Amino acid sequence: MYLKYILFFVMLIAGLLFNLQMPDKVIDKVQMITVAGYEATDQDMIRETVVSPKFQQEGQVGNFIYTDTAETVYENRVNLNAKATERLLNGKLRVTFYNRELAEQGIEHFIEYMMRDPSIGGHLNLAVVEGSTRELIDSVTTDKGVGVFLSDLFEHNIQHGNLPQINLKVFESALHAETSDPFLPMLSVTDNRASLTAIALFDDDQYVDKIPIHIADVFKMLYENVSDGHYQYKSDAYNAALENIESNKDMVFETTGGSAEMTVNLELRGVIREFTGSGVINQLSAIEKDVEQDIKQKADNLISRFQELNIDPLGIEEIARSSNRNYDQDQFKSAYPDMPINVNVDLRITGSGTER
Amino acid sequence: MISVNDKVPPLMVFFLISASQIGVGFLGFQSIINQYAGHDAWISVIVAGLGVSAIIWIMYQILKHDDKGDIIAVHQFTYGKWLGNFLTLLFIMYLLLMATVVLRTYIEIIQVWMFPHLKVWAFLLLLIPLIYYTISDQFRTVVGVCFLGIVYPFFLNLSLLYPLTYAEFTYIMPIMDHAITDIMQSSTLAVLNFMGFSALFVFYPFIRESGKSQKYAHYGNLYTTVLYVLVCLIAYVFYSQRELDEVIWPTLELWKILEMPLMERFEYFGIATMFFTILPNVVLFMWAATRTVNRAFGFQHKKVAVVLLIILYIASVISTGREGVNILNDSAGRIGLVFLFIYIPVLFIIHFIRRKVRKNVS
Repeated sequence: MYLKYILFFVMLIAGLLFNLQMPDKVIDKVQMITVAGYEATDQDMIRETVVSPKFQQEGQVGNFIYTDTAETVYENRVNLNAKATERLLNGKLRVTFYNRELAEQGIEHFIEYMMRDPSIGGHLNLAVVEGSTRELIDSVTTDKGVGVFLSDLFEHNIQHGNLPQINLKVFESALHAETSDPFLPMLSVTDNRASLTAIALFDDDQYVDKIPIHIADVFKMLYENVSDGHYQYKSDAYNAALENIESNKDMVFETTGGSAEMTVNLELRGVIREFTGSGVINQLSAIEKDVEQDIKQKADNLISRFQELNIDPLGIEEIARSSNRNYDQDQFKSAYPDMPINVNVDLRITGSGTER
Repeated sequence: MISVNDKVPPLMVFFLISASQIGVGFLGFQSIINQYAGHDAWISVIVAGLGVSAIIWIMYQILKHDDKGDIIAVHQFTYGKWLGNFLTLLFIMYLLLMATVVLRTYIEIIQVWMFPHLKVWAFLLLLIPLIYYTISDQFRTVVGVCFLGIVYPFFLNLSLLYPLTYAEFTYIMPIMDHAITDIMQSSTLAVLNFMGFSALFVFYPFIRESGKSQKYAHYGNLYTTVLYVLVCLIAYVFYSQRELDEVIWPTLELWKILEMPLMERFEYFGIATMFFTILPNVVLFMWAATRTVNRAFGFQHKKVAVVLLIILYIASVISTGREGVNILNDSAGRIGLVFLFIYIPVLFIIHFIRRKVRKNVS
């Protein structure tokens, strides 16, 4: 009878003892990487810069910054570890950068290793950097630590700014789906400060073009349903700023007599916050018309630019595939550059603030 | 004879059936079943659920018309003592294989997601006493584990709602874009995730008023089907079909999008809680195997449990790596398919004929 319990006890102790020898990761014996930046160099090498927070006094976070060059990410990790005071780990990675030269060559390889690592989450922010990633990281001055600073910057721009929802998961989905192309935010250093300057467009995993961030509002409306957007209208007669925009996007794909046609219906609701003319309350419907026309114009330009580049960041092909049982990939791909894509905008101004 | 105190109420069949069905397959079946039917494979899950319901009906028809009401008695009645016991032996090996598959796959997940340096043999030493404790005595202990195996992990289902914020409903459109034959082919793959319920052949006599428990068995299967269909749909709107080709465990990877303060990753919660869905699988299969050996060959229950656990231990230790686990899964799948959809209906027919013949003779 006792034999059973002794045996149990021995098994439990042995099971625990032998697994206790597992290499451990004690929190103050590791350095968590928060930002990783990659850039292309000559001879097929990549230069990687990583940032890990240095906790100083109460409320102040400094940065350890290490840079080195190698052929692969994990080979470089060996070099970086040779410089770091503690072991570098991926678990807290929040932002990764690719400089423009690297993005032009393709960044799929640098996405792959992150998807493979179970300690890296889907919320990670990716971005393209104009110029050197090291310079960009150095230009950030903050007490939050570079990683938190940048991920906060992306987050509020996604929620309230012109940047559409984008992170590792969304990028990876768009990259792997054959029916769409991905995009990423683009950062650069202006006046010694890191700032979000554009949206980088990709063909498969290669950078091809960019849209400046201040005119990316139309792109965001075409890409997703906006919940808190804004739009600036400028003309000779008056300027108007629309805020608190909520949008609904509906894409309809039709094939009539062998030729395919795409219609994008945009429904917008917003409030006027700035108006340089006079008597806004009496001419709301005229303003609505003007702005609708303006948005439609910009959307048409944007879409024909995508068609020229033969990229599909809006996922138009996915709409075509999912709403058409006779969808044929090759046929669509060849038809796409000349496909008529119409945009209908319907704007409703729901208020003009506290003034008439 | 099984005393009334050892028996469990018919409602428990609900938990026994669904706890035995929901296992490691739950974590990754989405990227396996879409092989033929693509984005329509969630329909295959419904088809598989219906098919399983039919098999449960057949099993009840066999068991209801038997005095003792378990597979040993059925086999001996249908095929005679020697052939019957031989087939029972195959059934025992099938149960052992299933227990090994579940345990080994779960350990693989721990290795990949949490502790890459985990020593399998040492980790198993922690689990084996627990399994022995559960299976060596009364059946009620096993039922208790199965009950908790449905109740505890229930909150995990809520965590699967968050990924819906990334849902692209176009991914599953157009619905029914694949031929019926494709959907049927995919449903043969989907069925593998429902397989555990064959333990019903063993625990049937342990149910009070067992004849009346049939509806609970169907409810249990319904619960599993609904759960699988929902998880399948969530994964199919979260991932495009091309992405699914790359992902080994879609359900687990859904948790990658959850971000938590302090814990950072939800998987640590999730995988730890999944233990409560894995344990019922293993203990139920092991208990069923033990009980079957005991009934068929008359060895003492506890001694059989020790021997079978040693076999389980060795089998789990020697099947290593992704390859080994894959081979285990594939073979268990194939054997299970033959067993459920070919052997059980055949058994039903032969059993039916034997019964009629016997009745006419007497």
